[in-house]
Amino acid sequence: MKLGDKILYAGLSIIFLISCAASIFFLRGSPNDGDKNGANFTLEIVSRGEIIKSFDMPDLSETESGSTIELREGGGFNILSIEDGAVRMVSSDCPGGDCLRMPPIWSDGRVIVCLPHKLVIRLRRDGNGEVDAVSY
Amino acid sequence: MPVDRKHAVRAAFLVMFFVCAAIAVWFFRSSGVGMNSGSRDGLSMDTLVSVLVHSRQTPNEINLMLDGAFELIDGFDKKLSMHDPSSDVSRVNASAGLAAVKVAPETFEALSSALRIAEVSGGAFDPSVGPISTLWRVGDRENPLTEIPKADEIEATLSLVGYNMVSTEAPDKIFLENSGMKLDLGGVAKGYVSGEVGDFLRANGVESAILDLGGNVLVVGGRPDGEAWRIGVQHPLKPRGEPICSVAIRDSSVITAGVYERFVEIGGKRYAHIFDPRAGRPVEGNLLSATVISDDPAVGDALSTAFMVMGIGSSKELAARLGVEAIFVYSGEDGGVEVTTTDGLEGRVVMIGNETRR
Repeated sequence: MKLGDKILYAGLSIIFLISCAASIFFLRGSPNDGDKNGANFTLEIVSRGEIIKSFDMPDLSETESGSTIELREGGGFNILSIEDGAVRMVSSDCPGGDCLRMPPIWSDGRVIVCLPHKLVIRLRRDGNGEVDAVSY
Repeated sequence: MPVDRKHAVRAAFLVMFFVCAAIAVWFFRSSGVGMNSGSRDGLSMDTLVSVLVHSRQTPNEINLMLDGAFELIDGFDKKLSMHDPSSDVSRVNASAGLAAVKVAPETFEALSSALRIAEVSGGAFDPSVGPISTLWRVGDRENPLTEIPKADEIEATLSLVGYNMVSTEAPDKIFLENSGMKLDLGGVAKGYVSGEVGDFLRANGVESAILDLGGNVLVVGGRPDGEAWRIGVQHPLKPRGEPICSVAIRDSSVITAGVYERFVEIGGKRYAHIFDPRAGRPVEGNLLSATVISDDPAVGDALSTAFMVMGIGSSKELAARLGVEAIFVYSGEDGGVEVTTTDGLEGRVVMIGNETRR
């Protein structure tokens, strides 16, 4: 193999790795994307099937980045953090701590669940006519 | 370096190259880079028409394509309109009971769709409903009825209505068997035309478009950002444009028939513009609108009207049989507006506002 070939192959390998990394990054999306229509979201805290609290995400985002919500449900505590429009469970005294390992949520219908505390944290797109057309 | 190892390395790089290329293409497409868009609103078929197109063509090409789309719609209107005396439909009506009339292939195709739905719905939709609309003076604002037609008048009119008295001879002949019969393709024309316009846009390489033909909505592909289109269903008690729920679709159509949209007022009472062709009377009952989601908008248009006549239960059965989805808006027992859908729409319909979904 000539030196030129080696450089070529090395270059191709680097491009390959970079594009793989880039596509993984874009496929995952990023919290800052929010919704592509700039739709607003409501953060709903559901305990035993009932919505016990809801927050407008724009209001939450306007506060300092890294604001937290503390919940005391199901005989324990859970702490959510809101950062750049994404919601993450950062602390809980539940056994197992599965909710702490769930990925952050930032789009319509995504949930974080804490089974021991019977809590569902979900995001809902505000349905104020966010449609592309209306059939009548 | 041994030859086969060299080959293996080459093959590995070839694979890498294709993966890179695929990623690049995917990224290019999903990013919307190189996408242009164009939209146009106009009046045609007695209604507001709007077309929005996203395409990789130049803005100029998109403009020409929009010209083409509107010419297409106007051309169809000239053939399918009941009001234009030179239209295919008017000529067929003028020869009712006398002779078969040669029509454009498009007119024949639209009627064929209408007759198919007439058959599967047992006449709940009927393209020969014309004499009934005339009896109830639909669209006659200057000279409306002061009292509802008498039973014997309705009876006499019913003898002139029946899709089985419409005979067709492929590829282009239509004959109304009795004089006094009257074809009305209003229940299928907009759906049929939107399907044709959709095909025209696809044939021109459009991957993403939305067409609104007087509330008949057809979409090509998904949105340019890769998401499904979200199409609202009109709230029956709110101003035009305010949806009660929305449905996510790609390459499909959403067509609604509703009693709130148009009606005739006789002696202070409102009667829906939608008639039961077998009873000769406007539909009554608690169903406010029926929306059909189908990849064939001509079918969707005719079916939405049929569903208004059939009611929710049998409509759901027919929808399942035909492989289409439907959304029904009705007044519930407590007087509120409620929504119910076919099973296939589970997870694709989002309620907007506080109405109940059952």
